This record gives sequence, structure tokens and C-alpha cells, in this order.
Amino acid sequence: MGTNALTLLGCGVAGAGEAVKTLVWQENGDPASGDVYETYYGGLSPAGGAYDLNTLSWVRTKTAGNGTTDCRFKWDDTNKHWYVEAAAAASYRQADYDIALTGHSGIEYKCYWKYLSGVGSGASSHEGVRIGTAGMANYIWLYNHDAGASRAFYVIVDGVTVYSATTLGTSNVEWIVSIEPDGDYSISRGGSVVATGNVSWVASLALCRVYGYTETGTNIGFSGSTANGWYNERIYTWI
Amino acid sequence: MDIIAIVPIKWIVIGGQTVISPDIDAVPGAMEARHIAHNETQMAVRLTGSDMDTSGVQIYETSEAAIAALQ
Repeated sequence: MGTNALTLLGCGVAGAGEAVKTLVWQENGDPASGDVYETYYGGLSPAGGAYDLNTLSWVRTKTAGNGTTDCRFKWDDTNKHWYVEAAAAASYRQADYDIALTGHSGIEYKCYWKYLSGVGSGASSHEGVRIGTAGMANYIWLYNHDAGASRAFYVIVDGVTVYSATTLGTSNVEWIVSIEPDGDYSISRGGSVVATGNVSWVASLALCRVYGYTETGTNIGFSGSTANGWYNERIYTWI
Repeated sequence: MDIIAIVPIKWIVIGGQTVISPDIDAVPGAMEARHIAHNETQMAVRLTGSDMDTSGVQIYETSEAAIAALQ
């Protein structure tokens, strides 16, 4: 994380008819190194407890079918980045994060997606994250389909698979989506670019929705649980 | 080794929504497929894998040729 980066950390409750209620971002940020930074938030009150430098708040995520749960961003001092952590290792099906992009010149957007060893044996387990606005024509998805032996990973842009893999490997794989303000995107896996293209809708991203989804299974999602071998983490950086 | 091929499209449901994906099962041994272009029923892809059996699909030397074949 660059010391001059303005990093937007969050998000808000995203439900029908709901606007963004919480925004949290951090400037000049590496709290572990003592960088001067500021944190802004507003709208929704934190779930409770005091803020601290390594656990930046807060937030409630809407989880269809399972009520709501709390999550928060935490600082990973080892890898020097923020990640999303659920407050409870509950089984939940999906969560939306709405992130306002207005007021920033230049955008570098990154999404980190890690696969850890030990994928579960669920009969049909799905998990993904998608970035976009609304409708299938306005999303970039990173998606896992785990159905026993037929595990597959998809990168889907505007409803079309631009990359698919029938094997996921057994070691950590880091996926990164980088989207430029002009809509040029690049998707890499383990440091190698697997897909590039352009999505015109990025230019109009007043609101970016990052949507995490798990269809079946337990303890998959944003908690970082390795029960089913999946772990997601995201960083949104505006430079 | 990469191979450019035209494979059938399959429809997959993710998150309750349907997207199109290359049916790389049509090429045994193929492990990865990268989208080049598609029409309503077929997708031109760059395939990666080992010991691929490409006998069931059309193979092209260039992406341009594969795209032209889709049209």
C-alpha cells in the first residue's frame, strides 16, 4: 500500500432501495508503520466497540436468507494490506458491498482472491465476487464452482466467461482485478495475466457493487475460514 | 502448448443468473480456456492443457481465423 494512496475501505448496507450508508476510507495508510492517516465514516453506526488502527470498524452486511452479520476490515501486518473479516464465522449466503467511487480522479481497483488448499467436498458449492453496477451486462465476476471433482473457476465479464479453469490447484492462487478509469481491465492469476479487456461502464461507476456470494457450504465467505478451503480478501485503491 | 479452437457454448447458472461459458469438456485434457470471441452457439478460445484430444473440435492457427470462422 503506497503511502500516498487514498484507500477506500468500505461499504455499506446494500439492499433494495437502500443507498450507501457507510463509507470508510483511509489516507496515507499503513497504520502499522505509523503513517499519518485519516479515517472517514458516516451514516451507519459501527456495530460496537472502539475503533482501533488495526481493526477499522465496522459494518453491517446484508445477507439474504441469513439475516445480517457484521464484518470489519482488518489490517494484515504480515502482508501489509487490509482484508475483510466477518465478525462471526456464520454461514451466510451472500453479502453486498456498495462502494462510492465519486470524488476520485484515477482509479486503480484490485480484488484479491485466494484459494487455499483443502477444498471442501460439498456437493455443489459456489463462491464468487463480482464487481459492477447492475445487471449481468455490468459485472466482472470471479467465481468458483466446486462440485466434488468437477471444480472450476470462472472469470466472467458482462455475462460471458473470458477465462475458465477446470482445475484449481492445491496451493494459494492470488487473483487480481485491476480496472482503470477508462474501463480497461486486467485479470491475473498468480501474477500472470489471464484476461484483459474493456468495460465501458466503469466510467460511469458512481457506485460500484462488490458482491460476494456463496451458494452452499458452511463457513465460506468473508470470514477467512479454511473449512472449505476458500478465503477472500479485497483491496480497493484509488490513487 | 496453447491451441486455438472453437468449442460449444454451455450455459452455467451462477448466483441464480445464467452466463455463457466454453464447454472445454469437449476437449479432453484441456485445463483452461480463454475467450477470444463467440456467437450464439460457439466460442473461440485459446486452450491450455496437456495431452489434449482435439479431434472433436475445429483448430485454427490464429485468433483472427477463429473469429472469422465464427461469423
